[in-house]
Amino acid sequence: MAERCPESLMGAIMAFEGMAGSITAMNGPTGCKYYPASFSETVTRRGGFNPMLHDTLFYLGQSRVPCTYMDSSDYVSGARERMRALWDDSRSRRPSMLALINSPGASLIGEMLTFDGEAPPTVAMESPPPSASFSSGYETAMLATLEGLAPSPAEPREMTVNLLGISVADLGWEDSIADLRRLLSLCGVEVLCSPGAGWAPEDVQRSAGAALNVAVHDERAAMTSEWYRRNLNVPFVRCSSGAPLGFEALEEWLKEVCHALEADPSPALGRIAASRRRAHREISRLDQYAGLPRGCSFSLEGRPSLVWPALRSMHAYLGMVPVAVSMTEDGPCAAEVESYLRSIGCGEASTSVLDCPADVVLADGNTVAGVLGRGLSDCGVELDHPSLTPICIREDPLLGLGGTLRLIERSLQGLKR
Amino acid sequence: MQWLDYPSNRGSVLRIALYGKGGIGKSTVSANLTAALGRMGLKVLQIGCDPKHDSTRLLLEGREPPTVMEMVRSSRREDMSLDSIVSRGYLGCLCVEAGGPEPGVGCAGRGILSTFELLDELGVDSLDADITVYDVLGDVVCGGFAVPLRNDYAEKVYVVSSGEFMSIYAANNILRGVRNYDPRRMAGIIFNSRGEPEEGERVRRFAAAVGLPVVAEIPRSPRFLDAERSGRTVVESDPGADLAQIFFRLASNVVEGDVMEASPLSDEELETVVLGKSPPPPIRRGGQEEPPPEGRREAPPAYTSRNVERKEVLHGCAFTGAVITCLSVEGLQTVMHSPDSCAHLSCQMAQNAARRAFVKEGVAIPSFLRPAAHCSSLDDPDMVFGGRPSLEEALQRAFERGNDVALVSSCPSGIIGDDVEEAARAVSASRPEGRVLTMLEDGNAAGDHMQGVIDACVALASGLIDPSAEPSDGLVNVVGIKPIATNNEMNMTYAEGILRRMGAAINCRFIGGTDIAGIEGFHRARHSILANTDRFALMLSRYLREEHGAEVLRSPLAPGLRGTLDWLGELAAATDRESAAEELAASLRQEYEEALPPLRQELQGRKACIISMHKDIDWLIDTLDDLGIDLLYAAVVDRSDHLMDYHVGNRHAGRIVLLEDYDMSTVVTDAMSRGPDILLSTYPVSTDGAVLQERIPMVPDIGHLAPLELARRWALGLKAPRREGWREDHG
Repeated sequence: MAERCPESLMGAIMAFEGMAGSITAMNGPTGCKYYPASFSETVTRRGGFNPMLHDTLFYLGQSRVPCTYMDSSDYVSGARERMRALWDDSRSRRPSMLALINSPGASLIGEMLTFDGEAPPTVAMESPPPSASFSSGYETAMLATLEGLAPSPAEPREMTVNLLGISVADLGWEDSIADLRRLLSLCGVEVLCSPGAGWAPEDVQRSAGAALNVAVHDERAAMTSEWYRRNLNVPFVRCSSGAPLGFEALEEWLKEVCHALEADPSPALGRIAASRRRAHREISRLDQYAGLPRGCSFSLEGRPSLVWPALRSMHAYLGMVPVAVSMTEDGPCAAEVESYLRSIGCGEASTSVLDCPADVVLADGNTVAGVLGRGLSDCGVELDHPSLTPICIREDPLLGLGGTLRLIERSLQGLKR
Repeated sequence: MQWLDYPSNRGSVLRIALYGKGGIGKSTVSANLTAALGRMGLKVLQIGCDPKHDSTRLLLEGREPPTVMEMVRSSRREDMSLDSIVSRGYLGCLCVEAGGPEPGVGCAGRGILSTFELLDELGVDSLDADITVYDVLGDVVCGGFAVPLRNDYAEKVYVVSSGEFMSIYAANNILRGVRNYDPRRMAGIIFNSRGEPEEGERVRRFAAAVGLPVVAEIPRSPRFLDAERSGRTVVESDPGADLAQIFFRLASNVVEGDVMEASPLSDEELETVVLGKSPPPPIRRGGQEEPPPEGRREAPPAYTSRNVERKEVLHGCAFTGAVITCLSVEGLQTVMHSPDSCAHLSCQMAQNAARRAFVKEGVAIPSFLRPAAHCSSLDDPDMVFGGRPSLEEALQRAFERGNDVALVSSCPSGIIGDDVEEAARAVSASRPEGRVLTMLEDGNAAGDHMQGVIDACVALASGLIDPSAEPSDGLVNVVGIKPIATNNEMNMTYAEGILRRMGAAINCRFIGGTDIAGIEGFHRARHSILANTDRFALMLSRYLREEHGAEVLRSPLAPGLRGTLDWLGELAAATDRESAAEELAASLRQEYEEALPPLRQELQGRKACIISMHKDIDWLIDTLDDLGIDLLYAAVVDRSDHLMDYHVGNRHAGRIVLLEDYDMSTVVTDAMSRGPDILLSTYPVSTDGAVLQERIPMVPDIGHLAPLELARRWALGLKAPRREGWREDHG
C-alpha cells in the first residue's frame, strides 16, 4: 500500500509548488526530480516534458523542479558548488519564492541549503521526513514557508477565512476552492486565501488577517492551524464530517464555519437544497427503472478526510454498500471511518481496493485503471491524481456542491443490473 | 571561591564546540570544562555528539543518560520530550547525549543531524543555559558531524589534540571543515598530552603554522583516572588542584577569548610542519584519467548504458529502471530497500504506463496494473541505526506472496551501507523454495535509469534462465522490450500476428509482459528478435549471446515495410520457413502498395523537414520517399537523455545531418527557413503554429503499415487552418 501512495517528499514539493510563481530547487539526483516535476507540470497546468523547449542545465527537459543531478561521487564529496550554481540560476529568474529541498540521499549526507547573497524570499528543507505521509511532508513544508515568509499579526477582518489543507496535488483543486468560495460568499464569508494551493507571497501576509482558519482536509491542517493560532492568533475550526463532499458533509461543514463566524448559512443551504431536488429526480428515475443504486457495491480509497464523507454519501445517501475501503494515510477522520464501517456491519470490508470486485471503484486514476483493467469493475470515479482524463476545461471540482454532484453522477453512470 | 561569583553570560547563549579525534580525551576535557564553567556560576548545557555517548558521564556521577537516538528509535513523535533526554548533572548543568548506531551499521552522521533537528523541534533553546558545549567526534567531519559548525550553532570552535600525528591530522581536517562554513570561529587548540616525547613541540609547531593559540596544555595525569573511577571530573573532585586550574583558565578563555580564521594546511605542509619531512616530489600522472568516483561498484558493469559509459549526467536512476523491469514480470515480487518516496516514484511510473496504455489501447501489462511491490520504508531511525530489520520484514512480506523475489537497493541504503545481500541470504535461508535476486543499484550509484533496466535484465536472466530448457520449433524470443511504452502490447500483438502467419509464436518477451516461467524457458526458443536497435537492446543482445549462447537476429522489429520484410526474411532463413515468409511478404507488400496511392495523392510534392532525437529514421525517410514528399532537411540532434543512442550509419545517412553540439533555436530556424509544409520532430518546437508539426513517436509502432498511419495524420493536418482560433485567445 505504502508503495502506491503519495508520501512526504511529494507532499513537501507539492506544498512548495503551491506557491504561485515560485521555484522549487532540489539538491538531489534526477531520479528524485523527474516524477515530482512532471506531476507539478500536470496539476498546475504548466508546460510539460519537452527537451526541445526546456533544454537547460538544471531543468533537464522539464519546466519545473530544477535539480543538481547528484551522482554517487556527490554522495562522497557533496554537491554544494552545484547547488550554489542552481541557487544562482534560480534567483536570477526572480521567482516569488525560492524553495530549496534536499533529496533523501542529500539529506543523509547533511547538505546545507543556506547561501549568502541577495535572493527572493527563500525557504529551505534540509531533511524532508523520510517514509512519512504526504500530509506530514506537506505540513512540514507549510511550516517552513510560514517561518520563512514570517507574516506578522494583523487585525482580524470580520467574516474572512483561510481554507487549510488543500494541495495543488489534489484533483480539481482550483475548482474546489472556487466552489467553496462561492458557497461561503452566499453566507457573507470571504475566502482570503488557500494556503499551500495557489497562494502568492502577498497572500501569506493577507492570511494573517483572517478571522478564522477552516480545515478542508484536516490531516493536513493540524500543524499549520496551530502555527497560525500560536503566532498570529487566528482561531481554527475543523468539521468532524471531514472534507465538504456529499450533501451531508457539505451542509455540516458550512454550518460549522458559519456558526464559528456567527454567519447565516441559509443562502448556501438553500442552494444545496435545490441541487438535492435535482439529484433526487435523477436517482428516483434510476430507482424506478432498475431499482438502483440501492445495494450496489463500491470500493473506496483515499486520504481519511475524503474517504469519510464519500463513504457516508455513497452509503447513507445513495444506499450503496462498501466492499473495500482503504485509507492512504492516517488522520483525524480515520477513526470515524472505521467506526462507521462497523456500525453498518461492514467492519470486515476488504482493505485492498485493487483486488476487490465492485460495481463502482472510487480512488486515484491509477488505482481505478488497475481495477478496471483487471476486469474487477466497470465504473471508476477518480478522487485523486493521476487522472484518466487529464484534459480538463470545464469546471470540475472534487469538493463542494459541484464535487458532490460529480460524485453522485459519476457513481450512478456506470451502474448496471 | 572567587570563580563562583563570575557574572552570568550576557543574557544570550554562547555556543562552543570541542572537536577532536576519537579517543583523544575530548570528552574528559569537555566535562571538566563544563564543570569549571559551572563553578564560575554559569549555567551550562553539554551535548555529546559521539555515538559512544560518554561525553557527560563524569558530570552524572558515572551514569549514562538516555540518548536522543534511543528515544527516536523507541518513541512515537508525540511522546518525545526534552524531559526524556535532558539529565541534570554537577552543579545543575544540563546533559544531553546524541547517541548513535552500533559500529558497522547505519549512519552516525545522520544521527547527529537528526539529534540537532529534534532538539530544535523540542525547543532546546528554551532550556535555562548560558553556554552550550558541543562535544563532537572529529575523525570524520561529514555533513552530519559538521552540524555544530553551521552558522546557527557554535560561535567558537576548539580543537582538542595530542601530539600524535593522526591526532594533529584530524585537527587539521577539522579546520578544513570550519573553513567550509564561517571560517572566523576558531578559538584555539587544546593540547591534551599523551606524555609522548616531543609531542608538545609538534602541537605548538602546528598551532603556529595555522595561526592559532594553544589555549590550554593539559598534562597526562593519574588524577584524571582517579576522578573518573568515582564518576567525577577533576574539577569536581579536587577544584583547588593545579590541574583543575587549567580548566578554569580554559573556561575563562571560552567566555572572553577571541576568535580567529581557520587556515588549514595542505597534507604536504602538514607532514613538513609536524614530522619535519621534506615535501615529496609530485606524482607523475602520465596522462592517466581521473580516478573514478567513489561508490560501492568498483568497476563499471560489462553492459552499460550510454550515460554510464560516457560519464554523462545521469537521467533517472538505476533503482527505478531496475524496479520497473522487475515489476513487469508477472509473479515476481519486487522488494525496494528504500524510503517510500523511491518506491512511490517507481510504482507510479509502472502504474502510469499501465493507465496510459489502458486508456489508449484498452490493454496494459497486467503486472503494472497491480504492482507486486514491497518497500522497506526506510525512516529516520533506519537511516541512523541501519535498515536491515526493515528490509527483512519487507522480504518476509514478499515471500508471503510468492517464492521469487527481486531486491533492489536505493541511494539511502547505499549511503548507510546496509548489507543488503546478507539480509537476503538470511531471509531466504528459512525459505528453501524461495530465491532472491539482488540488484545492488544503490539508487543511481550504479547509473541512470537505463543502466538499471540493463542490470535488472541481466540479473533476472542470470538468475532465472534455465540452461537445460529444450528448444522447440517455431518459438521466438523478443529481446529489448520497453514495458513502459504505451504501444508495447499493440506492437507485440502485431509481431505475434506476423509470426502466426509464419507458423511461429513468441516464447518470451525479454523483459516486459512475461512471467517467471517465460524467462526460465528462454532457451525453448532457438532464435531471438530485437524489439528495436537502441543501445539497451544491443547490450541485452550482446549479453544473451555472450552469456547464454543465444542466437539474436540482426534485423529488429521495425516500423515500415522494409524493416518488416528484413526481420521476416532473416527469421525465415534461420528457421527454414522461406516459402511461408515469401508468401507472407508478398501479401504485406500488396497491402502496403494498396494503402499508398490515396495518401500519395494527398501528400506528393509536399515539403518536409525533420528534427529528430531518434537516430534511426530510415523508416521515416523511406515513407517520405514512397509518398513523394520532398525532404528538405533532416537533422538528428544528439542527446544524452535519449535512448536511441547508436550511431547513424544506415541507408539514408548521407541525407541526415548529425548535430552533436547545437543550439535548438538555431536548428529550428534553419529548418523553418527552408519553408517546409510539415515539420516532423520528436517533440513540438516553438513555431507558433506557422507550420504543421507532427511528432516522431518516442517508440514508433512497428509494422508494415505503421508509418502510413502517421502519414494519414499528416494529410489530415494539412487540411487544418494555418492558424487556429484558439491561438488568438492567449492571455
